[in-house]
Amino acid sequence: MPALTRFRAQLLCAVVAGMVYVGVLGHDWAGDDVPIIATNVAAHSISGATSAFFSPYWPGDVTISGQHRPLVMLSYAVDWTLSNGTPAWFHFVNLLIHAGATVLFVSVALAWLPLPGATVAGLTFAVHPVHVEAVANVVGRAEVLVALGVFACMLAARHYRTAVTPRARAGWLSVVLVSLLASLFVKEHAVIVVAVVLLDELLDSNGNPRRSAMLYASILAVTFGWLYLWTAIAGQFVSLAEAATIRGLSTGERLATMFPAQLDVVRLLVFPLDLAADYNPQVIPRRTEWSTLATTGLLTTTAIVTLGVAVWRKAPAIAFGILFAIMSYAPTSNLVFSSGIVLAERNLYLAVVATAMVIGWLFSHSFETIPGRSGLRALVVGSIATLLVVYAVRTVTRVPFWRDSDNVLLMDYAEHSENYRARLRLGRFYRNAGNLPAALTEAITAGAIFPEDPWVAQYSVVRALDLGLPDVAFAEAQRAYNIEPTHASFARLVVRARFAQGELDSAAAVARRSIVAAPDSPIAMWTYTQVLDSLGASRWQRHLAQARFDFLEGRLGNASARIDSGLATVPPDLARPPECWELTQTIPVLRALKPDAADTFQLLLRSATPECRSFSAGGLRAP
Amino acid sequence: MLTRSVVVKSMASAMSPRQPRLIDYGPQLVGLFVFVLALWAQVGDAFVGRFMGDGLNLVLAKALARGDGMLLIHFPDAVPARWIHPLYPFVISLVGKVWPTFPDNLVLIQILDSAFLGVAAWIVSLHVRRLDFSPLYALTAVALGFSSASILSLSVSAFAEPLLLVLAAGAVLLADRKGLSRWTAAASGLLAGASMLTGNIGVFVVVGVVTAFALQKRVGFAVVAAVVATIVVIPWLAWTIRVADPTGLAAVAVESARQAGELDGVISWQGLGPLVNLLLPSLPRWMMFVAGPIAAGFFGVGLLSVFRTAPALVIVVSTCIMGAWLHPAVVPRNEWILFPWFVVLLAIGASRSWGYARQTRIPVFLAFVVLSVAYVPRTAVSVASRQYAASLVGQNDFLRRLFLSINVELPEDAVIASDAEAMVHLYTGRLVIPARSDFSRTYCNAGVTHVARTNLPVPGAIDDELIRAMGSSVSTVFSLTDGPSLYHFTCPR
Repeated sequence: MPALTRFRAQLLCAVVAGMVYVGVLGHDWAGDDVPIIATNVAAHSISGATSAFFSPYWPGDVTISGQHRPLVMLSYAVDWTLSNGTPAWFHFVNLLIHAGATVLFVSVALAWLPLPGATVAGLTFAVHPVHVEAVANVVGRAEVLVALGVFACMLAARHYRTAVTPRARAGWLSVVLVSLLASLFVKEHAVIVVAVVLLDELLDSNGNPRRSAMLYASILAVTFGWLYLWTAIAGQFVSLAEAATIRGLSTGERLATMFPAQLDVVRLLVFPLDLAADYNPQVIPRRTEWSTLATTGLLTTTAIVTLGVAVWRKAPAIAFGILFAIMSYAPTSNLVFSSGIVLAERNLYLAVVATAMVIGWLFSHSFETIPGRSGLRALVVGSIATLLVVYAVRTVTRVPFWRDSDNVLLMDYAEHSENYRARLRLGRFYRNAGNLPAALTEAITAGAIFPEDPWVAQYSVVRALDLGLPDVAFAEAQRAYNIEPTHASFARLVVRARFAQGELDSAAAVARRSIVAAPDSPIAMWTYTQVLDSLGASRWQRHLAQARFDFLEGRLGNASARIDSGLATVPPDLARPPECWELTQTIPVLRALKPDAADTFQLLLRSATPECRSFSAGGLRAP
Repeated sequence: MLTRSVVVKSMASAMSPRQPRLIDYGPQLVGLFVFVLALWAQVGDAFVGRFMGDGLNLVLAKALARGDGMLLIHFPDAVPARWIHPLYPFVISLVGKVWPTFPDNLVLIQILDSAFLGVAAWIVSLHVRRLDFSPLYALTAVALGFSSASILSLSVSAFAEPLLLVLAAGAVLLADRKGLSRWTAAASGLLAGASMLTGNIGVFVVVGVVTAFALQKRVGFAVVAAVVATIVVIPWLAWTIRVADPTGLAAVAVESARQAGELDGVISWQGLGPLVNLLLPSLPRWMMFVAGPIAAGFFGVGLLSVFRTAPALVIVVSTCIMGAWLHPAVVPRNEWILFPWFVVLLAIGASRSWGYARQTRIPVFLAFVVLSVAYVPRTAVSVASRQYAASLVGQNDFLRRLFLSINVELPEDAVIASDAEAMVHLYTGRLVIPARSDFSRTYCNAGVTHVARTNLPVPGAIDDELIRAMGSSVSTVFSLTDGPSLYHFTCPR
């Protein structure tokens, strides 16, 4: 039997990493692959990807995800150019990158583990079932690529620290910085590089942190520069993309929700047999009060952190694995700050390092400390082997889940029907199939499962109106409106439902209230102008409302002209309350464009009837 | 008699490399600090171009990125920008090539300018670390000098000064290098020449570097540096001579630049004034007359103190100040790049004065405290609250409305006359000429269809009098109260 060398160990891990994912080669696009790759022109040519280099990751107007990943998009474009858009090629490249990341991980692990231990750690990393989502779903490439980049940075930083000549140090510094910048353009997670490189150095007993000041200054400079760019391109949308589970929660409530979820994280890293593509409610429920489960999650998290620190000297491999995993998972843990995802298996791609290092350490430790007790050693080795086989089998059996979009949708629904998003996706599936009643049923069920998400009404109201069920539409719209009464989109749903019911006055009242609640919202103003048209309001009212809409949209010339037309026909004696309201709402625009007219009509308002004025002061009728 | 252990220890210490101290990495840390501070100081959503110089830099960068050359493409007949130094527009045109979408790509220019400041701080720190002073003291002075709100504000708009500072600092660092070679002298000349391509004050960097070599009796190096610098700038000078035919709209552009202070026609006599103003922003006027000479005194002592170890630094800084004193085209902003050196030399001068005699320590200490109190707290507050950006951001809403209206309501081929022509062009893409009092001739020749009044306090601003003078030639499209206005223009019959 040939001796185990570093190269053979890496080759073995790479081959195993590829073998367990061979099944993906027959897969089609699945889930987010479709909007991000299959129907996204930026992913179809290299010139398209470079043109969109400084655009958010998600195509079109979906900028709320707060992501900027131009190099991932460029990799898709290269794949598309090479394969003419064949999904199998994309999957093959994902598989290769996973194998590459596994090879680099073995090199990283070799700093603290002997070769057999690092090999076992590498095999664990290769076959861990939590990786399936990242590897088998093409858009999971961002996770795998950033892992490759982070490992490359760590290895290059090690070379930098041990390089003797200034030229070699400059060379390795360049490699670190190029890898870092590339990683940052792959996924935001690469911000952890400075922390993991420091962790790597601190755990290295031969290291001298002071020697690496130039390294850290450079890494920080690149990271800050990227952060500034990212904030300008996509970062501003992060707050809008808060995960539905924790949206609107206070810090305490968020922690009450997320500490129980840490138990799921631990379970996924240790015994990941039950997997899910989506952890939205009620897979992970929203909790507004502290619970026993939250306490258990807190204690477990604390114990893991403590273990990572406690074994710093005795078992640096475990310390590195645990602390590295914490650093990699922290940005999306929702414990430090809110993120756009409550929990996703793909985000645990790097965190698997903890499991791999612990298993690798156990393997090598069983040979070092129990040399005379071959039975015990056999038990440990046998257990590890069994665990790896279980991991591999689960990975192989999980891969078909990601076969295509329909399979993901249906299987996810079958496995986790308590997930309201799965219900919504099924509803869209029914709608596309022409089964509107079933689509409406699923949308209403989704709302019942997780009533805190008002956006569900966007589906249920439209489906109900399509089916000619205005009362159902109104109930759904009202539910959303009650959750976020200042959001013009939900007010618009209520207006549409009220119109369908024939309640025109109520529709107008809601439209007016929406303008008061969101005075800068073009949606609210647009809705109101449509209401006035439908009501057959007087010409001057429509002119002034349209002028306000033009003003909001920046058409100042139009607004100015419409004000002139509208004001010329304002009746001298305002009697009807909506007329006073109309003029009152227009006063700020008049102040900006026609200050003299503003004064004149302010006087006119003062001479109006008390009833008229009280309406304008906020006496809006409830819907 | 040496014992065996002592010999072994001394041999070991001689053979093993010296363990670096944290202060050895001071220049990198100062560079990082200034870079991060400059990034933090950015005002992401402020409109650029209102200072004319920044607007013209961006228009030229756009033209260069499109392959049009050094032309002011916002004019109906593009005008060669012969009075603008080309290197900075060229550098930011590379940004325009990789990311053509304005104003989104401003973020890259901001990062670039912040990086220039960071690199400049690093280079200046490398330089002052060589001086015979406490490195911590000198590096702190560098960090303080670069923390000035005015210096940071240079990177907020698209000004050439951060790049100019990098080039000048690099030229000076190389000229002061020990073990100088002809290659080093050539590199110094190259950077000095490049600084001349970047800003007015660059010419004094060239003069300073060459003079420094000559005064050290290194005539060969002086010749090398001068020749290289000349070779660098000759193509640009030749081009400016070739296109020097300011007639028609070119004359309008030159006049516009003159109004904006780019080409002041008189000697400014500013000297140390702008630097002292940056140092003592919060002192009452009468105290300025006391503290100013003290600062100048410390600065003078500092110059003399480092002349032996850094002759090029002393000569370049002195030459630049002298030049700024006398040169008609140097505006205070150009001189600001000297401020970090000014603070360092002042600090060194104070340190020297402290050690000169025991009797002078108390007045020196008091003077140093006065200067520090005048500079540090005000600077900290100004930077922390981004006070320098208040006027920029204050006009944001109005300008946004003006540009939005032009974009959605005017035809693509509209020609606009405006008092912020570069900015209006950048944000609307329309052809724009400067506002003029002789409107009937200039506007009609240029085919002006609209007049945009920004209501900004800029040189040559359109006022009510000019609008009234236009009479029936203009009709109001809209006029925002206390804000910009847009008029439709027709040629008078």
